[in-house]
Amino acid sequence: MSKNSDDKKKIGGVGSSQATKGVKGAEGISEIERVKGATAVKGVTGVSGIGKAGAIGAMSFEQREKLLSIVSQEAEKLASQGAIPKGQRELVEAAVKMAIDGSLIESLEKKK
Amino acid sequence: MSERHTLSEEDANELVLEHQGWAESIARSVARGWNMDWRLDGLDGAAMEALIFCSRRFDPTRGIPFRGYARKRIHEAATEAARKSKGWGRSSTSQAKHEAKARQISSELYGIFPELREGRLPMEESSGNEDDDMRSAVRQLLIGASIVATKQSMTDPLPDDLVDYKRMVGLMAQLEPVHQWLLYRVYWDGLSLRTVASEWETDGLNVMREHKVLIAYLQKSFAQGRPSTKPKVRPGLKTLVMKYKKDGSKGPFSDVVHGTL
Repeated sequence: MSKNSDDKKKIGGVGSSQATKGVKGAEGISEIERVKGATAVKGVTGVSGIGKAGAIGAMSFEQREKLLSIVSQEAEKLASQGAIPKGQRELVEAAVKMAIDGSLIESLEKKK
Repeated sequence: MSERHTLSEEDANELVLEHQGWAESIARSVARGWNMDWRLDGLDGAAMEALIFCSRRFDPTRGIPFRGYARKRIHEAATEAARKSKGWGRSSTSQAKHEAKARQISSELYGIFPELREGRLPMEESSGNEDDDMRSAVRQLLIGASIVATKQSMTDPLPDDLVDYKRMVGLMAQLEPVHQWLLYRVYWDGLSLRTVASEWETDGLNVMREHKVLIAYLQKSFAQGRPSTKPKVRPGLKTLVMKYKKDGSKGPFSDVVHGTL
């Protein structure tokens, strides 16, 4: 087989471009909606509403005591409901407290 | 893939100096949580190494603040150093044994809920009531910890542990196969919810919300001593339902219940 016929196979050929059939006319603007008046700002969410560090679920060191006490309260509730085996309650409570406490960074300013 | 724009060595060093105290405070928080010594147990060095590593890899053009980028990595390094230290498994007294077990469970919780490493509770959306949201997240952690504890107790089980384990597996076996796999991949294989989501090629929120529903199911079922209403699979996970149906899988817990119990 000649070199030229090899090259033809590789390229495979170029299809012809299709002719433009026409350009659709722009449709007329039927109506312009009235711009609605801006409504008044109803209020600004307090700092607690957006979370201390801005992210959902963000914890701060200042909430440490509250968080640890919530863990105890909820552990007691779950154990009394039977949702946590009674024999496991202390262990599970301690583990969750450890995980939370180990995630709270004490600010450097406080340390100084 | 876009090109990485890391800092010059000089700027990276500047970043290390600027955040050294912050990285140390992460190491101190891990030590405080686990009642360890952040220096004696080598958490300080691990945190510093992670900080240096992050400073070299940090790409400021991605728009993520350095602390947002580095916090989880530094926390991981500190917890890893703690787990490898002599203080980790020290348990001569019964109180120390209890503490060592609790440490082990909390360490698994960091794997399941990696947002904890970033200082966030497992919460995918806010209801507007901070206290309710906190309590709901804490309940997720407690039930999660209880599953981990029940699973871990099987290494050296007491009769009560066996009863708890059988009860838990029995309740899980009532779930849809995709739900059973979700719990299995997280609590038995130790994957995070995010990792399961990427493995299943679905949005992380789908898996996180579904996990929350499953925890609520388990909580209710444990409390009433019998299976609660089986949760439906959310639309975002329907393709997996088809996949497991096609595979003929009834779920890992169903297999255990029907095969050996």
